[in-house]
Amino acid sequence: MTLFNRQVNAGFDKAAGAEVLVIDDDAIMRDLMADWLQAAGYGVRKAADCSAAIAELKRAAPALIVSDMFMPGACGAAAISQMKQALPGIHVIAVSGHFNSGQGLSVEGALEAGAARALAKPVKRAELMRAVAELLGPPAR
Amino acid sequence: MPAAMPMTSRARATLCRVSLSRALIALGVLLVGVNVAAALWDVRAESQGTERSAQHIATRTLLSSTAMFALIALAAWGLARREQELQRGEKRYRAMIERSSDAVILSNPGNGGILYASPSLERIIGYSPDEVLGRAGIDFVHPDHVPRMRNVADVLQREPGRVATEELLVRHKDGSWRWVENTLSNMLNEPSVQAVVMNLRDITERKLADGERSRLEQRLRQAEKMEAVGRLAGGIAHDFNNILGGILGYAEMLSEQSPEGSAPRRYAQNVLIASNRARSLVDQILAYSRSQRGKRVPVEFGPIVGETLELVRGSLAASIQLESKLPGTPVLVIGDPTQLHQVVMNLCTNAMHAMPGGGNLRVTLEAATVGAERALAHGTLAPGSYLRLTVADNGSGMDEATLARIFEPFFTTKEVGMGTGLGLSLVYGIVTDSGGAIDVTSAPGHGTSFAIYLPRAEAAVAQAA
Repeated sequence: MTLFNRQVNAGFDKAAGAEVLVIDDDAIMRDLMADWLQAAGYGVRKAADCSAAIAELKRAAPALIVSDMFMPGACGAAAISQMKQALPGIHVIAVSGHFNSGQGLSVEGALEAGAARALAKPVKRAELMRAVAELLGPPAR
Repeated sequence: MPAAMPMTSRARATLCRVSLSRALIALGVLLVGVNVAAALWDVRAESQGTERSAQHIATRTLLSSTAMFALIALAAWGLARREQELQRGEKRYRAMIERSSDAVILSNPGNGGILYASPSLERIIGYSPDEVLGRAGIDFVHPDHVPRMRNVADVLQREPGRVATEELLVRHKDGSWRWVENTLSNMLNEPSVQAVVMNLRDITERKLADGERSRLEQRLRQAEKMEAVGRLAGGIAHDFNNILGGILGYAEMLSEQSPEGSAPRRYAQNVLIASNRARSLVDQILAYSRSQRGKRVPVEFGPIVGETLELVRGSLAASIQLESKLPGTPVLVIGDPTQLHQVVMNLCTNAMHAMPGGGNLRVTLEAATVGAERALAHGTLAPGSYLRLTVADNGSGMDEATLARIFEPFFTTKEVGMGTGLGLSLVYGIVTDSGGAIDVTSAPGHGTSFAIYLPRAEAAVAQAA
């Protein structure tokens, strides 16, 4: 089963500017990253889990996805390559608390799967902002 | 004895000999008795006026002479046999004593010292029996064991027949110390012995094996404990770090959005300071739990030590002298430069803290070649080429109990808030991760010396090839 079907692709056609979708099941981290991006002037949407993320992607494809790699459900490493397949133009920033632990998905693994950047949790503000600016350019306002 | 028990041929021969000699003695006594009776009869007959013929008298004389001769011969034969038995017995006992791997010593402490020592003594302590005759046994005892042995001797001599067994160190002729088990028996009151009989058994090997085993067990327990604590701390630290990320992130935003100089800004700043402190602690725990593994690259250790010492010099109290000796030629080890820097820094910081009243901080980096496997205070050193970093102070030092725990995570002797108890744990983690080992010597009031052994990179490369 693929996460992103034709309907998602249809959604991508109606792309709505430099919008970022933040996916994390940790409410504080999700809010924090969204608030940082918002404070910097990016448009932000949030999703707490896989199904919410798919719903958001169907509604309108963002320009960039910041996604935690360790969440319950089908989201995670496999999702990166599927997202990239379904939405070839999309940038993915993979975030994980396990990048430094030597267990599970490594930075290299995330980059190989198609992520543009892989950031270790806890994500530093400057690090995230630099990565987003490099991928999307400076915010609109 | 059960009737059915079979008699050995030896026992049968003894029994035969005994009954034969008894029969001969009985015969001799019987002949003498008959002779005496005949003589008395003759005397009585004489007094009654009955004459005895010359033939009669000659017969009796012959008979009595024969009987006497037989008795004398028997006595001589018996004596010779007895002598032979005694000699055989003595030879047997001598062989038992002299061929035994234990040494036997007879000594009369109050009168002449050592009277006899069996040849095995030379094998145990290097001195031949002749060399120890006349000397006092206590002369060979390790100074630490002298009071105990004097006490044992006192108690022993008060009670004839008393036996005591003691383990002690005695001096070998070559100057080394040997462990012996000494079994002492008081036979001073036994007229034919008049000595304290000592049986010395060499138990050095056993003692060394026991010591090595308990050291190994202790190290294993320590390693297991550290690994468990490390794993636990690492697991918590990850989650904790994420939680801190939220606190730090929002405190930062709050601080940004509050007007400069306002109370909310100050509040947010203090939240930031506190959470940053927490984060540095968590980072240390993470470093310790090895979940943030260091790099493994060839590093020139000399400049790292030099740079760290420059930093140390900057924060050094005026009362502390820093002496350093670094190699002139570059030497490489495999490790993470940042982590190795931390090792030097942590050891120097601890040394400085151990000398609140001032003192000498000596830092030496030198090559060390290890020929045979060596057990260190913490870890075993495999043979090979190493770089040895020694950080020594002449400060407060540590007792054994403290020394046993210094690498435990969160163990600290510093005041609350002064140390996390992770500094040396980190040193341990980094050094063992780099394939190295640590040796520590310390004495309360005299200072502490840490020796870090790191495998030389050339050796590691050669080994891999």
